[in-house]
Amino acid sequence: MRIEKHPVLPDRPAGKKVDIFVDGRKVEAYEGEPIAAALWAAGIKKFRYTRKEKQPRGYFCGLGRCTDCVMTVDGVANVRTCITPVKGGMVVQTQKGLGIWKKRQMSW
Amino acid sequence: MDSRVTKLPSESEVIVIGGGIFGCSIAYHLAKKGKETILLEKRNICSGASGRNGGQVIQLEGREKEPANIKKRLALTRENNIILKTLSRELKIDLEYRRTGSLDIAFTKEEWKELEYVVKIQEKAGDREIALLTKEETLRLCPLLTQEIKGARYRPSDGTINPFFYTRGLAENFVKHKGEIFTWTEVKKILRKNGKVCGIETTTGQRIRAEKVVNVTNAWSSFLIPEIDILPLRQTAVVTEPAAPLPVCPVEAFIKGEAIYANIQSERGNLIAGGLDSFRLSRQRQYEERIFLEEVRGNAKIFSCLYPSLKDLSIIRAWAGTMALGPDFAPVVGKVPESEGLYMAAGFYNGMAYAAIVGELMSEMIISDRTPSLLECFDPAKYYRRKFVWPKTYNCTSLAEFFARK
Amino acid sequence: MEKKANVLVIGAGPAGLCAGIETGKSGAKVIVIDENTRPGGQLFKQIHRFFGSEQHHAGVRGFEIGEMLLHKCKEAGVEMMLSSVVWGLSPEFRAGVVREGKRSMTITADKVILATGASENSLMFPGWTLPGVMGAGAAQTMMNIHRVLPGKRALMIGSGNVGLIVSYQLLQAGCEVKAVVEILPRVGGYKVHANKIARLGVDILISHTVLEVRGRERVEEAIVGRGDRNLRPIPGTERTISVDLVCLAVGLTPLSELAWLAGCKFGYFPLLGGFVPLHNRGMETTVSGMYIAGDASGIEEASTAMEEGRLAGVGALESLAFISAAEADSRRKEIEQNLLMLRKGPYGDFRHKEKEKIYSEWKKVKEKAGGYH
Repeated sequence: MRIEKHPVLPDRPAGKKVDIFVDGRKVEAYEGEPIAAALWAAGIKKFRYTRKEKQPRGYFCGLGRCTDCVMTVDGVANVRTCITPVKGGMVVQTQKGLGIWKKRQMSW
Repeated sequence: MDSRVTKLPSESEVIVIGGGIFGCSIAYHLAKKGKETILLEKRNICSGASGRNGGQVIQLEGREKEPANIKKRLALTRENNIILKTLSRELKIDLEYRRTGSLDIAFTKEEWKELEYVVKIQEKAGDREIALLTKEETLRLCPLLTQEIKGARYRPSDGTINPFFYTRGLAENFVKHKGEIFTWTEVKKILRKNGKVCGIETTTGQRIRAEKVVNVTNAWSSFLIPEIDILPLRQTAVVTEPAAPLPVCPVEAFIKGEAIYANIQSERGNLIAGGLDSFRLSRQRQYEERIFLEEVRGNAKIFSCLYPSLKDLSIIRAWAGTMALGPDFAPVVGKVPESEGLYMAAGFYNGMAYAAIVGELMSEMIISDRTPSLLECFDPAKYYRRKFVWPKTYNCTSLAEFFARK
Repeated sequence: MEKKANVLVIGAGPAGLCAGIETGKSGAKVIVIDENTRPGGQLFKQIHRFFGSEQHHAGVRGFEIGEMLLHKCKEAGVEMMLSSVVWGLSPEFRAGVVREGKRSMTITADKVILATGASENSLMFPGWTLPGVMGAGAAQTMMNIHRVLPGKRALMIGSGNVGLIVSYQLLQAGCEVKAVVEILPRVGGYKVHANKIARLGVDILISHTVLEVRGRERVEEAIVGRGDRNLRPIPGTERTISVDLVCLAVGLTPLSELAWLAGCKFGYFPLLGGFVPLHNRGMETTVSGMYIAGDASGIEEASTAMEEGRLAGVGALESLAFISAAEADSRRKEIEQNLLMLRKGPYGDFRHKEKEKIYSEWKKVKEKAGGYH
């Protein structure tokens, strides 16, 4: 959910609205905001499943340090979504385990 | 136990100095055979070269061309390979030992010729499984490798192991057999009297009596036994973020004149690449365990040359560590002359491929006082009090040239 | 690519920006580098009014201070390098940098000021990895910077200033804060902050902790319980709170990897967050020419971080002869006065004492070794 009116902060600077594709689903986002913020605003909280226990993980440190929020973005695995800005048309996938790189699959 | 908080004993039947893979292996086998043994380690278990390598188990490393050397090394490493197959069960810890095979890659026509020659000699010397692969065959095996290669030497029974689990597994089982480990305990000197060993003295001035002392400090062993010259050699490596399982195996290659190994993936998915030493260092600087910026960059660059499609993998760690070489580029193992009860093992360029068998054989030697035939050719007596003129500054590549010329 | 500077400041938070301004305005060639896409560190998510006296920007909100510092940086001619990660630092002050995840370069500097800040501690309990459990600072970033509500019903773990302030900000953003739990028998942060949220109906449960967080693939409820004098949970006191957000405000740890890399000596100061690079009154570490400031030199506040950044800058300027010793002394005196004021009272006193300990440890190391390198 987005915070539209805030008692202290000035209104959100009007950003450019773009679409990104999360596991095939179209999600509205602002260009330049972290992918994680766009997903959270759309109610998506599971970003990946761990390799061994297959446990869900989401947004945790918000600083790019803990790597809990990594997803596969445009075919590249392990992208830290809390610090990676949204670009229109991005293809974001819930990462299972260590993920598979599209590039790698192509080269095999 | 940390000797800064625990008291050291005043005596022990055997003292093993050095908590690396060899120290732990020898100590484990001694304790298993009922010998009262303590192990002293300057830092922590697996702090030196044993914890600073790619974990490759390569039975015949480098491009060895001397048939006699090939034979004696293979005799040991084959035995070692057999032990590794069951060692996980014995130590009750998964050592992550995998037989992935290994490659030595040729990038130029000259190198391809050299490999052809090496393989011919090694086959003749008894290496029955070694094979020469064409470019296509190599790429079928390791499809992520660069297209620039000419071909490779392949040995299917080589592989990888987790060096930390290997060392710790031996250490923990040593303790289970009533062995005692004292960490943060640095030995200043080995005490000798009338041609006999009588104990050690630590840097804090404590003495421990023992009739048998084993020096397995590898790169540091000449500080304790100056009569035998062991050469320290620093190497560096980088580790990538974990990736899904990839079809890679341990690789040895010379790229742009630099020695490099690009190792397999660890069980957790990290890729390890290293070996590069971009500048020559003095003997003293070979002990530098910090890594230089250029080395991180150089390793990363060569790694992405080798595996172009993996160049986007992030590097998350880097290290430097000090291995050691014996005077002939060969290991030195056995009794030290003129000092009854003093033993050493040092100079293994690829210790993971030797440690299990050497531990077993050394323990027999220490208990029975007879040198096992497999170890005879590594006798320290050959190098005793011999002066070697090493280059003032060196790195892996320059040493390879230096040894080749001799 | 190679780049040179008189002073390289690593980190563009309050400490780093002030170090950049201090050195830049006296004529040094300064690069301030930060891995984030925008400067300001954590200042821009601070929407509360700062305390202290007027010269400490009392009454001004954090993000406004951020704007002001950025403006001053520009005036002082500071070069700002963003989206740039410093991945290595040699004792000769050569920094390995990767820009935008792609281009590799080296920056060589005469002096280095580390202002790398801190990271949030976490707390482990069953369910701590469920999506919806996050750092209080992470929640703050999401709501105050990205304007996304991190949750609708929150539980805050920890009643230090971060816990209290973020709870208030969650309320401002429209989130219901169900409770703040505190394992100790007293509230950790300033009374003013505690009263503010208490007035808005938030219970601060002292001697309580979170025992478990449950939910199907996301946070749905939290179990809290009372703890005894030894901080162990008392059976039978558990209760379930329905929440979709659990924030951890359980302290910070200085980020000091680069100081380790460069060979700085450390000391352990748990009251300031753990291992801290030893430094002197002028913020110089045991490696000559390398300075440290802000949370990286011990966890404090943005206001002290700014003063420390200036102090480090003055040290660098003096040793590079951009200012005279007399000028440096007079600037230092003023800054030290400010710091003394900021480290007063029940929440400042212990920090003052810990800092004094760090200075004296630094002296001991220097005397013993005659310098590390």
